[in-house]
Amino acid sequence: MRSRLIFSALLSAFLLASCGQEEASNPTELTVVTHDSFALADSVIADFEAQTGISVQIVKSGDAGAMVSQLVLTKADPLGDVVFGIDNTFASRAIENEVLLSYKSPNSENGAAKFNAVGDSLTAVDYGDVCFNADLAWFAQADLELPKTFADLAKPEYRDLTVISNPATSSPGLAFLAATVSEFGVDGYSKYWTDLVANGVEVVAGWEEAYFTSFSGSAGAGPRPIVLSYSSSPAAEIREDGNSGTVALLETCTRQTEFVGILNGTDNLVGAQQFIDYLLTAEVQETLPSTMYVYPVTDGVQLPVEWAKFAPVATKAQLRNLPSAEFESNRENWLQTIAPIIGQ
Amino acid sequence: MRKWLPLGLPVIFVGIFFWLPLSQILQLGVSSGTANIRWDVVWFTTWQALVTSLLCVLIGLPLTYSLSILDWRGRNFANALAGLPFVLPTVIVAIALRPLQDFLAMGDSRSTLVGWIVFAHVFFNLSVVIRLVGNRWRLIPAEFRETAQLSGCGEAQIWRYVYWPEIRGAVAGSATLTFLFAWTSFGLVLLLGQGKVQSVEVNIWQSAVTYLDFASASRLALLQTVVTGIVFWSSRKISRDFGVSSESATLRPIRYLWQRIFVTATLLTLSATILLPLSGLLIAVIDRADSLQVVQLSGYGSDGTLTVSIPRSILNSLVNASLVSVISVCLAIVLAWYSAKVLSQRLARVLTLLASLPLGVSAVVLGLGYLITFDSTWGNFRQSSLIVVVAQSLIAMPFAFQFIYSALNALDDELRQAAQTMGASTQQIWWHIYQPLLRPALAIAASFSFLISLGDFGAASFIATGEKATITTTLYRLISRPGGQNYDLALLLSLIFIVVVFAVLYLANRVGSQKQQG
Repeated sequence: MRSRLIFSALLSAFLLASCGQEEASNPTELTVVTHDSFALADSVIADFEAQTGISVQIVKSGDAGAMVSQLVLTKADPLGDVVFGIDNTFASRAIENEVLLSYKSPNSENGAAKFNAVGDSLTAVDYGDVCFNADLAWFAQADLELPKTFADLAKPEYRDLTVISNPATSSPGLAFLAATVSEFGVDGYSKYWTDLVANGVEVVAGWEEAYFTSFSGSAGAGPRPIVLSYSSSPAAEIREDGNSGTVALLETCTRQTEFVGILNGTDNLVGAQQFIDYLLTAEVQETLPSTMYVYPVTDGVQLPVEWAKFAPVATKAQLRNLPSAEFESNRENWLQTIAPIIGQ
Repeated sequence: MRKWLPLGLPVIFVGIFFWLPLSQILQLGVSSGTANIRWDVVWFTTWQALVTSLLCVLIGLPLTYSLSILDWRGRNFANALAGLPFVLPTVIVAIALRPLQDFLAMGDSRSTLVGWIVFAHVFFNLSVVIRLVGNRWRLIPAEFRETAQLSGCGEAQIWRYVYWPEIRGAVAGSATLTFLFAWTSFGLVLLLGQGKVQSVEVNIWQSAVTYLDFASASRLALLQTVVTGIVFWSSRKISRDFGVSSESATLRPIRYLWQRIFVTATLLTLSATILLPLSGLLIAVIDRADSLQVVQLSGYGSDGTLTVSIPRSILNSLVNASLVSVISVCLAIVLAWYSAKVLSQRLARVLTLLASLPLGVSAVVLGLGYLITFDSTWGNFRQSSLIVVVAQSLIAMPFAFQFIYSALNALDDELRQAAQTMGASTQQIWWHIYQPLLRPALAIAASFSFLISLGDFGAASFIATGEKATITTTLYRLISRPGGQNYDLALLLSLIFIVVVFAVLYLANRVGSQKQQG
């Protein structure tokens, strides 16, 4: 008797949960699929809901790579209406697998279009530069000049000073690997990695361990003064004297652009378009640095004071970038080339 | 017919939430293209799991003796301590192990990395051995030992001929479980292997996520299913002959010097392997004590890194964990009851196997299976918070089942028959006879399920976001952003997490051993 009661209670709870949302096709709802690092202020979402009468549901699907894999797998019955956070390293996977619809937002003319090298099915929303960071106090104390380029990191004076995250398991690591392909060419990058490893570079699984347990300039106070991180990280390391304790080495940067796109199969096309337009407004763009640690793409948006002061981005000439399509065709090849070098 | 109705509950649950999505994703993967299986990875995964399992038993048995058999002050405390690593999120382990690793400075050659992985696997899973074997060991009547002594048996012979035959089944069972944990390990291998060491599960993740190669991923998952099945099947003694509770069991006072040595050795081992890494964490916190004072626990990290406050995420975790322990224990009771008392042995074994397999099969693949199985015809189930509870219950249920099933098996039938003769109803029998006797087993089953849910990151990271964030997803979120305040909050949250887990373990231990002491 008891167990039958439990059974029927569970069953009805389950049916309620699964059938209660029947009106998902109702265009007053918009489901945004995104990655784990996504963070928009609640007020930003609330404003959109108030302006349009659309209620927004956020669905997180792992990191950017996992998210795109899931979108490809569920192409026939998409997970939502909009996808936020596909970056340039996975853009062509999404495009080639036809999970996206084309859309050109009128607001993209105010800056976003400049970042868009992947066609109309994705709209740039924000970007961040993956760069090496150095611990200023450490270098001052050691009376050593800061390194400037990728090549410097393989020089004897910087032996055993650098920590990176593994390209096979982390997104900044993969961006760095592609940057070395861009810098040294398809014939030269494996020699560079050999030199880097011979010079004592430490390879850890993810950005978190690299930054918080190995890097000397973070709160974790590890042993190594050079870390693969972002151009924005120094803005989070302001010391008591009001200056940043770290600096990004701008000649070691590669740009990661994040895009938003409309999922093929959406039943709220208009809402999806409105949402993309909204993301490009100054109101949303100016919140991006503090909530997601990325830079806005729309022109004329003010950066927070400490960002303006301590987190400059690389210039076009300094950036080492590859076209998005290169990633999809070469990712496996690159990773397998360096795997034996870094000791996999 | 009515007799079989309750059994439908666990069968439907595992069928819908495990076998259906698994078969769908395997079908999709196996039918799509050619796969590239790295047999060297399979081999590595297998041998490190075997070594882990062996070490767990070798180190675990003496620990079990002092923690579960001997009576000494601080025993409950040490017991809870031993269970702690089992649920720690891997990020905490990385922070905690770092000072030790730096101190030992053994470099990062492959063999060193593998060494750390095995070390972590062993100490994550020791508590499984201590729990399972300890509960069986306590059941051995004191007279056995006395009789053996009277017949002139030495200490060594008593262990060989009295203890070993009794605990053999439990040892096999715990060896099986530790093997499976090490065999499907993901986070620890990734983190301690610095991305350079691949296990089957890491390989599956990389195939599916980095290379979009579902063919390889699902073939590997199929391999996992088969291996798990074989392992469970071949250790058929696993849950047949070890029990959890009995009123005859009592803790033994320490009488001999060698027992004292056992206890001392246990304390030393626990200190070296658990307290030392944890004190690494404590040192980190003390290091940051100045800035910690200004951190507000109710805050949202620097610049609003968090979407929910920390107290809220703790509450979410506790609610999830409670639901998981209720669901998995309820389902396990039904399954255990039928397997132990109603079904034929052969049928019970098949059923047990089918319900235990979720323990050994890739969470990555199962997660993808959920996405394609529970499509929009299921409403938005695949995006609801129920799915986290369901996924965690699937992992917790086989555990709960093991504990309850063995306890039921150990109870003799005479009590029930006597009660039936006197006209007691099924409910009365359950409530007045089985329930009190099973209480320690239920307490352990519930606490394990609770902790499995609390420590889970894999399933939670899929869905436990926004207002549903849990302790582990919040921790991960804090640690994935630069900034001293986030780091401090992460350290603090780790400590809170450890205290919560410790409290649960300590309480479960007390409830579990009340019977014996009373």
